Amino acid sequence: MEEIGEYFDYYSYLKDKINSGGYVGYMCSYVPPEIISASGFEPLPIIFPPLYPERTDEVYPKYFCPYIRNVNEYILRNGLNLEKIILTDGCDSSKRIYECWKELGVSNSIYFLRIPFNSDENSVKYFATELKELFKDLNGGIETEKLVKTIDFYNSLRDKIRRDGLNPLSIFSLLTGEAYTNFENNYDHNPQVKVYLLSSMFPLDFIKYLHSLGVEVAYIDSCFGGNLLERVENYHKDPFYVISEYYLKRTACVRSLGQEKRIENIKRLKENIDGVIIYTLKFCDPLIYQSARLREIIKTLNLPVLTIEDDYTLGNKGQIRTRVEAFVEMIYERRKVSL
Amino acid sequence: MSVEKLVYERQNLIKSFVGSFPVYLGAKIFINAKYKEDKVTKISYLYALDLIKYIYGKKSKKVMINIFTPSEIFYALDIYPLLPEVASGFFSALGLLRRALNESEGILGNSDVCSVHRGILGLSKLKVFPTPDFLVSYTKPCFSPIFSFSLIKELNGGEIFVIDSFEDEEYLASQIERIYYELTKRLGVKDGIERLKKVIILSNEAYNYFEEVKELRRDYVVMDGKNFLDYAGMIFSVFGSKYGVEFFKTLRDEIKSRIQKGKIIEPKVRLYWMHLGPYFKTDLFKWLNDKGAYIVFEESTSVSWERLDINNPFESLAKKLINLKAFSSLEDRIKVALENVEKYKAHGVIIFNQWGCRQGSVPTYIIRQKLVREGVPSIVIDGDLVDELNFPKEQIKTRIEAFLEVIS
Repeated sequence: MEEIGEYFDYYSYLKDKINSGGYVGYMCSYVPPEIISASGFEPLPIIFPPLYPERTDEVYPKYFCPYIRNVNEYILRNGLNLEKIILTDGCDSSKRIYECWKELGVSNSIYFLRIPFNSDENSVKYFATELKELFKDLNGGIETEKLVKTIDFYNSLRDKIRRDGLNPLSIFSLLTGEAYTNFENNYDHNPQVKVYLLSSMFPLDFIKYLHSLGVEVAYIDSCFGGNLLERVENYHKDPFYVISEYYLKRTACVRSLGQEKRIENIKRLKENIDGVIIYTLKFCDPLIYQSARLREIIKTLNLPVLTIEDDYTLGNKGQIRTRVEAFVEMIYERRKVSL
Repeated sequence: MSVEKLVYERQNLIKSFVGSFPVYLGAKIFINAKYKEDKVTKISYLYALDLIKYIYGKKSKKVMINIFTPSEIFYALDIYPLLPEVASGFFSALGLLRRALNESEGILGNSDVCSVHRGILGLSKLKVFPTPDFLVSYTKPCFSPIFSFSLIKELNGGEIFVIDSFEDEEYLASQIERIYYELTKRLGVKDGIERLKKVIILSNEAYNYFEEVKELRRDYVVMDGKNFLDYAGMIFSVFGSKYGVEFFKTLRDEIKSRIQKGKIIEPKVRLYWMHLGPYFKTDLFKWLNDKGAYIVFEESTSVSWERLDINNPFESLAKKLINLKAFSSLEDRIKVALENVEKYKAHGVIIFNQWGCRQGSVPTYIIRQKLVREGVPSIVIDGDLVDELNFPKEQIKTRIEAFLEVIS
């Protein structure tokens, strides 16, 4: 495999940041980077290059989230100790890895953020209190005004990304509070097919690989995707409550029982895409339980769907290539017919 | 016609049969006669018969709940809750789950999730389960029921309620209370709190017997823990019902009677079993017994809580849920395991890994390491609770044999 770091500058940024400090790492889209920024730290999404999990297999069984396993692998191979990290109970794997990391001393400071499954009034209030506690833990106190200003700033980032167009790495500008900005497209291909990518977590390299096969990802709907670009509104009076409501009610996480917003989004973008690719991360329960149903719904929208199952390593590139090429051919055929 | 065909292809026949009073009465007489001596099994089957009669009844409200949702709030409303996870295990024990497991792949397009829930989805799709009115899931021990209930809702209908599981008694109590009163409203029940109080008395009574059972097992082994792995279904299903009281009283009496009659087993190797165990037919446990190895206690039985407070039912149910330390965090599981190893004088620990169970399996290697460091020989066994095709029995035996040699 080509040296990934050369292409994806984010990996180098992540490595440098971990060495220099002053960050709070996170791995779940329910963690609001606004809270981390407002409390005086740089939010840092932990997304390492795909590795074969040889060290991880010594510590954990094989059948749980390959993304989390990959983070473990990178940490174990490099002997890292994360300065501060927030883990959540967003999924069963994440919940349990919090306990394991505490036991293994992966970080000196691991914060566990509880996320309600429900999103009714009481749950929004509960999560708002959780977010206040997180703020206090990071900052030592509550600075409401600072949070309001930070949300202003994040909204401006959202506007900017929407205005300039979402590309696979531009979302990192939002996720890092604009600490990371080097996300220029340096693709050397000219894709003819545009797709909506639906996933939970996927290796960034997958986007590049699709590009090399003539497929451009026009919209990313994943844990850290375009669904985080909706503006936060009316937050000046009670920013914690509003941020809580925003994160509990947005579309981004596939664990959500209501998928209506996601379907509406696909309908809205239908004219700008040729099809949908579902990248199913092996052993990702929230996505596996939803993906077959979503696939059927998407088909009723008269959009071709391709499901790619992978364990975050892109180990079966040959197989993926064959399937993507067949998918692209099918899209070309559809175009011919519609002409 | 095979039983499998009858269950999956002529289920309407079964449903109408169990609804008929003479058939119900006949089944009851049959169970009473066949299990006259084996009273514990008799109570379980009589409960199962009433449950089946209830869930296929034309007028009854059908409620599906996950294993940790407090059953008391449903018995208070005269509802027999159906625990599909338990039912999935039961079908596996009868050798009837294969078709449901195969069918689930048509829903999921995948077999990488917990096989218990794959079974549930297959049974729902094949209409073996009744159409639910309500599906209620607590977010412990895992999220799988929420996801599978969501798909059942898509397949067959029903309304979902989720109880979020935070260690916050007040918040948890308010959620249980809200669901309870929502259900009383929907069912037109006026004396909800009085009904709940009555059920809490039954729950406490059953719990007293349950605690006695655990105490008796400290000093005597009179049956292999495999039986208790099978009783897990009752532990999760019957608290708050008259069957709860009858079942645990009968179990207590049976253990006492065996002790009095001197039917005491002296295991060569005493084992503590973590997680649940395979429900399908396997000779693994007999094979263990033949080697003198017996399960003296299990994680699934080591659930305990404070007696429920009749005057504060929701708060005490919340406390009960918070106190469920089995299948809980890594720290709790290790703590409970070490306590039980000491209490039940176990020589070693078998940690069973259920395929697809993220919450149970992720920490198991670390649990094993910690136990070994504490001087407790431990082994992790990868297998399956309900899918015998994912249970490499001979390989497991080879590993356990080596483990037993180490302990000996």
